[in-house]
Amino acid sequence: MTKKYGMVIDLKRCIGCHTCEIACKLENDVPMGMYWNRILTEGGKYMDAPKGEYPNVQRGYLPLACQHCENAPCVKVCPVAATYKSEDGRVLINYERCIGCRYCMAACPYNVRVFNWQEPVRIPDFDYGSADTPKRKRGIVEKCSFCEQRVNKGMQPFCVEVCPARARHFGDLNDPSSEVAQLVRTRKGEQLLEDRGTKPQVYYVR
Amino acid sequence: MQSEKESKGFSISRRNFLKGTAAVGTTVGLLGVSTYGLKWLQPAQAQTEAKEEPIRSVCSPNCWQTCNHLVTVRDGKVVKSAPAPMPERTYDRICLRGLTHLQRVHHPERIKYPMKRAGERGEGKWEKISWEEAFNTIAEKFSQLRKQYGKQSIAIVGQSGNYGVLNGGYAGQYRFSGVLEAVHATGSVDTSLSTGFAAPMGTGIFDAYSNEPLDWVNARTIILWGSACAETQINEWHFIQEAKEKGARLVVIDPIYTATAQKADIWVNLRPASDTALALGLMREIMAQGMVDKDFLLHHTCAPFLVRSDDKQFARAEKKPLVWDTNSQSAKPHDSSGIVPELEGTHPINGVACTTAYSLLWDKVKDYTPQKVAELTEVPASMVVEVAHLLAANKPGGIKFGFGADRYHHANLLGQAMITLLGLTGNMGKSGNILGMAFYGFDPMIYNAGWLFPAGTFPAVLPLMRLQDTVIKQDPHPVKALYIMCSNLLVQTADRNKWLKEVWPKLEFVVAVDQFLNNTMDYADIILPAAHYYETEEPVLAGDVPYVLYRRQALEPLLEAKPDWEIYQGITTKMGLGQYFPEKLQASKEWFDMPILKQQGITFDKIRQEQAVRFLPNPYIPWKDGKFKTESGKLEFYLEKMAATAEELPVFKWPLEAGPDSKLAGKYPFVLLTRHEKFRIHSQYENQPWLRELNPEPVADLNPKDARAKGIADGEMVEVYNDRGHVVLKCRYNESIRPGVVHIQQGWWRYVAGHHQELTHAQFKEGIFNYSFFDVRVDFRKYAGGELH
Repeated sequence: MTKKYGMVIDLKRCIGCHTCEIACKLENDVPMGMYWNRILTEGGKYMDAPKGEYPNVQRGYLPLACQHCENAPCVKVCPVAATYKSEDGRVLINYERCIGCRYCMAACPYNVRVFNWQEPVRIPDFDYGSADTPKRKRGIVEKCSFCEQRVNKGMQPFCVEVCPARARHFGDLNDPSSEVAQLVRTRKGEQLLEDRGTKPQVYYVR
Repeated sequence: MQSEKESKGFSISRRNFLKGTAAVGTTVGLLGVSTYGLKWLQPAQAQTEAKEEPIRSVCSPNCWQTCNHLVTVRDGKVVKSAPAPMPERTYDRICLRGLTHLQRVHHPERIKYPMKRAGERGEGKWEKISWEEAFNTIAEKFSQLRKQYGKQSIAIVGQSGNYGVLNGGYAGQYRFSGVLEAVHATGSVDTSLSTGFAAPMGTGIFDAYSNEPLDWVNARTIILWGSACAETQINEWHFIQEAKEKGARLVVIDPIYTATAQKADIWVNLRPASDTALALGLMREIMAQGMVDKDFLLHHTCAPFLVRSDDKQFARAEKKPLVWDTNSQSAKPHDSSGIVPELEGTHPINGVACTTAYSLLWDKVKDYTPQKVAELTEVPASMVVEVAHLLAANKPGGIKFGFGADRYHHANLLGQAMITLLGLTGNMGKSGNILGMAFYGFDPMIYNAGWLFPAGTFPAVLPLMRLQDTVIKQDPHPVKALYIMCSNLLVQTADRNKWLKEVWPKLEFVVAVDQFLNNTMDYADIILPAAHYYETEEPVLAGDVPYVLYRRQALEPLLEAKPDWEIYQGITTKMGLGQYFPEKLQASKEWFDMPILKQQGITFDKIRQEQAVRFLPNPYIPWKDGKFKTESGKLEFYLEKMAATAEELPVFKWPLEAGPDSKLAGKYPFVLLTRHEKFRIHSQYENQPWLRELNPEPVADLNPKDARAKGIADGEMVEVYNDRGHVVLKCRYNESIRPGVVHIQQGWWRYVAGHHQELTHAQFKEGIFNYSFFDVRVDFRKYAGGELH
């Protein structure tokens, strides 16, 4: 059977520390002002603010990046086939083909794609991360690729490797013995906005 | 159930991703699924894969996680930090801060070269000088001051900015001050809690007294007391989480709803500064319900020791504390064979009434009923009972403290109460126990006096807490010059105005070594650019990992930066003392020449090759044999030496300011908590661009009720003030904050006006060197200084 790469994020474990978010910027050479992976606070108005009234308060964290949907709306709308579904189930972008029309951003119900409105600004002012991270330029869209440059070499996405809470898991959803498949099964993995029919390959367990 | 949970759980986030997706629908299906699986669409693989060998380094600020990093350098630039594999992979670690090191190494604002002051102190005008001029100026000025006022006119000042042996704030710095015979003004400024905690075990305050983190997963009850470790010591969190998944119950004691409190089974949101009352209440409940571990108490603690009613010292025979033997109905040395010691009771010995330490402890705690504790702490009585029962009955367990509860006057009594609680419940010496804090760095260091003081000369050690008054009074040392390194002194110590208005005018010469122009550097006369962790090679003191660590140099120091060790070499050479600062590899090799390592075959070559080598047993569980390092070998929670101040047993006292009894409570109704959080380690990483994207500016977190009562809207500028000073910053409504508390993240360098350290005071308890950073009262008002951004 072909592979279907997916991720499981354990919200019981997530502490909202942003380590995965910074790791993503580092590994993938993401410029200032842009994120492929964000940590949303399920709570009050600000980052880390809870809902409710002290001391009856509640807070949760939701790490959010490309859901690598099986039925990906971004792939369907891309007029130049820059965004595509790889054989192993990842939603990837051929940055050479992207024309910057941003249809994909409009189509994505998860708001996880970012556009290079300007020449990318990096501090420090050079390309960082893995040497073979695909380069992007002004005028194109980018997003989480499950660290394609790493996964292609049999490694885990960097966010999975660094997560201090060990909350992130990556693997082949089609392999019933894989950690991710087992977690989805035993912990009743949930998908975001299931009603949209996008069939995300990122699952959350709580 | 499932769908209900889903819709509840994700309803908030749904709003977030729907932002900016108005055009959904019209474009769906344009290309359908036709692109699925088309290989030719995939981007070309990188043509040549450059072979990159990462260098192994250590990130070593004072979160004491000492994460080992693999550092990738490409074309002379740091391009990546990643977790390095540890001997036990469960200790592989990195965090959001450690991942930003490339921004620190290559920061556009990094200090480029040595500079001398070109305007008034604090004016920020600098002139470039050469290293040669810097070394000459410092050596000449030091020599002149030594001649005029004596060697102790120079104070070497350090804090915890680096755990490196050569270049950090511990070992190499001692060597520098020892060779100069200068005042050595360093040391931790948060030692109160650990002072009280360690004394009953007979250990040093930062010795290896706790089980190591990988064993914490075996705990059944974990109390995190004033510890937000899911933010501050992020890499200790997963052990606690794993224990939880195995069924442990987590209690978090914190007035603030932190990300750690969010994970608790029981969040004890007590009133600030009331922690010791809670601890006494827990003890009372455990003792009253007969839930103590009697066997442990009788054989491994001072509980049965008889205390004389006249001098409050242990009754002794031949220097050995006596216990009452119920077999012979007589007093016997505690370690006599064949005796059955009595736990509670009073007996006359040579005409003096003597009572067991256990009975005396009961006298101290018996009034702290759950109801009384509820009044003092504002925690429900039922919660006090529940936590007490967990610790006593759901074993093994432990207490991990952070420094949240430490930052009050009298925190030593809380530390003493915590270790007494662990003794009462027999939660020591077993797998699954947690004793305060895991810290293993200083154990090898204490064997190294020869390395620290190669000239046979010594520094005049001065607790950093005493430096302000020493300079002001010029007593006991005539300090005229400060050499500040590994420390953002004016941000990480209390009473900033006292430093600037009373201390600084008495200083003829201030040298400061750092990587950035933080606001301690503003007030220096000479500024020296320090090398980054990655730019040095040296042994590194471990923090909460049971290893000896070594870092290799990933790149040469950039710009004109130098490792601290080379700066010592430069200065001492000019002063004719350079022979004590040999080449770095030689100095590193000599460091490892200590019995505790040699006995285990841990040589310099091995450590330089492997870079992380375990030196403690696996798993490290101290006190297995029930023998402590006290004179009696037992846990002496009754501290004879403290009898003079009636603190031989833990008692509850409100601290200087934060309690409701404070004279300042009317004028300044709010307690200021300046806690650590996830975006910095102390004041390090403050200017890291990626971290500032997430956490752009200082804010005063206020409970909305408190802010509204003063007519202050969310986001308005406020002035937080007291008699000592003020700080101006934006107000943020935050329901994590207990009413009556103003919260500001510690570590910010600069504000619109003032500084949070203007508000803090530097008073400390005699003999206990601790800044009571949270023992501070303030009020706040709308800022009247006009429009600010």
